[in-house]
Amino acid sequence: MTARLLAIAALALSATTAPVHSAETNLKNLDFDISKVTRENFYDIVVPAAKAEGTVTMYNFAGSFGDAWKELITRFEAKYGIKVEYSDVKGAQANQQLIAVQKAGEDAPVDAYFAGGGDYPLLSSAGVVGNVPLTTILPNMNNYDPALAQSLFGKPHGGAYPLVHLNQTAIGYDSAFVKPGDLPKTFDELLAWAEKNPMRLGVTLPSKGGSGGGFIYSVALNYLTGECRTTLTDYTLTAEQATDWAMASECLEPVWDYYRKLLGVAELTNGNADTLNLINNQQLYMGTVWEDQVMTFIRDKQLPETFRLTLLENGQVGSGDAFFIPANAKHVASALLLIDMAIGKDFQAWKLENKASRSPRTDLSSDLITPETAKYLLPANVYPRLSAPAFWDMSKALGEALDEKVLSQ
Amino acid sequence: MQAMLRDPKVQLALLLLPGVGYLLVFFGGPLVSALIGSLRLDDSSFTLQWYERIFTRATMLRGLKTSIYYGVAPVFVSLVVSVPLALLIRQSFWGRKLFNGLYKLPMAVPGIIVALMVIILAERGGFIDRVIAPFGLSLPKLVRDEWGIGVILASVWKQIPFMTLIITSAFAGIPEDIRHAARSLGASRLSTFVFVEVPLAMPGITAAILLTFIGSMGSYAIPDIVGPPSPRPLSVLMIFEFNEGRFAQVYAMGMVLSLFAVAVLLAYYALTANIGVSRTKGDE
Repeated sequence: MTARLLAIAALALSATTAPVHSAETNLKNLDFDISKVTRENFYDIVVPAAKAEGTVTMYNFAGSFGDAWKELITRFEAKYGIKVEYSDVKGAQANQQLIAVQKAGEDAPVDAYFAGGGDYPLLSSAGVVGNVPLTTILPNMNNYDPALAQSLFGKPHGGAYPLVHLNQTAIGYDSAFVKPGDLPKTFDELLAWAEKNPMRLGVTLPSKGGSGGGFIYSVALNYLTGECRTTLTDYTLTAEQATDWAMASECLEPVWDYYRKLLGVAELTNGNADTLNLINNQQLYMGTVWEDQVMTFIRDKQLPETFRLTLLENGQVGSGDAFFIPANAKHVASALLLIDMAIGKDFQAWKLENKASRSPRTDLSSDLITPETAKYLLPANVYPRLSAPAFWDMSKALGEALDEKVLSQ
Repeated sequence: MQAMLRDPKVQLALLLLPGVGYLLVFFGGPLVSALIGSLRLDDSSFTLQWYERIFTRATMLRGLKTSIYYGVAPVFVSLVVSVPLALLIRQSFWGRKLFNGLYKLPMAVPGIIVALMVIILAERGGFIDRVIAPFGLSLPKLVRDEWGIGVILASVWKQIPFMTLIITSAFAGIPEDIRHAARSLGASRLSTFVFVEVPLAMPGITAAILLTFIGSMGSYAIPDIVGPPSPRPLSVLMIFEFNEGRFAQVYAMGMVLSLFAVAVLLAYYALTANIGVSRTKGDE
């Protein structure tokens, strides 16, 4: 009986101390046993290992996030005394660099990479993403949104590719020119507004800006039904399958019809910033935008104070960007600590207030935002109610098909 | 060994080695590698699908035409400005030295800076528009315009000094005696210029045309930032494909662009060879 009790006690003890996720890691350069790290013993194991490493290299793909990471790095270096080597990178090129390095079996040039949420399928299929259950072992992820903890936009990542920043595509408008009664609430009303106000609506070319990519997917979500919608939202499709479907399917005719009409009366722009610049120049009154980028432009006085945001009924795409540790990273412990601080409540609250960067933490709400900032964010009556999950491979496919089916005809 | 080194053939090969070797390693090598890459699938099997996409997809075909358009149009405009400018620079006038230095400045400005300058200055509602707005004037659409006028003007601004420099050298290489001889035989200034000087300067002018064409056709930043979102030239589409990780497609597009550049180069050689022949006949 005593032996049985001891066995049960030992089992219970091991169940509480063993990591929740015990899959074998693909990390190449580990100086400590990551399989033994839990939320409870995280700092005991990781902090000494990180201090021994002494440095960590971070990549940031989002140009508008430089000041946010500067704030994080200042806090991180002050707390742990670990030097952060920071680089702004162009996401697509950094991805290709990491893929090439991975293929060559060399050490990755980066330890913690802030990368696009839509890049996960590409990076994971190339084996670049380190198999670390971050959402399970990082103490600051104990309040992480369960819907995002194990999968991202329908693709399982096991906690290795957690979003640390949520963003939302939207319709932005200058309220000095667009009165509340004229504000479109649906995609049909948006088209009607554009027809009534020719060349005053800016639509970002999908292949040159995420606000355009998000918009075309939102249009498709709005107009497709039945089996067509099922395929549109089938996250198991690969990028190639999505492209083949978008190029060939008759399901998308309503989308092409909508764009044919819309682009006859709207300005197609060369990117997210291009759309905002034209609104600032008072050439456009309304356009497809990102919520967080608008805040950056507002803070830099590159948009008028009368600028406001809304979402259209049936939803517009919401997305996010993630921190991950490459499989061949050299300073894993320091990277773990850095990501842990990035998702910490203090920094996430700072990011929300200063960058309009929404948080995947469940204990942070819009109520924490000051009224001065809140007026430039999406109103509570549309967000998060009208936020629809992104499917970037499908958005890219729709963007390419738009080029082929509408723009090049 | 020493006997071998005295062999004229070996000496010739050794003398050519630095130049030819450099070309083989840094031009031929990547070109062959790109050609092989453009004919392969991920599993290394042979395919022509990347070329098929270029010649069957409407986006790509329009991209190819747009590349040629963005290559040719700036050449014509630059030529119209550069030839008179080259003639002007030969003359003596007040401030010539300063002008001679200043007109070359655009060559040092990177394409992306030129593109951003155009966006800031010539965008609708931009700097120039705001300055002239009080007079009831406004700029025509130069950014994202359907005909790519903004792209052409920005390319021209950057290419004119380069073209002028080469053409000025070409005119400077014509002996004064020839011009004087033509004038003393009764040719007018215009006839001397058109029938004597231009043909003699033609090798330099065609070289300038060729280099400007290749530079404009392959440029990325100006058409990407200033040009219309659609159609986009192959150079811009190549970056898009690169960002998507479709390297084989990038190689195929690069090969097609290179093929056009080589075709223009061959046309240049044919043209300059004919000029040489007529000059020789003229000499006889």
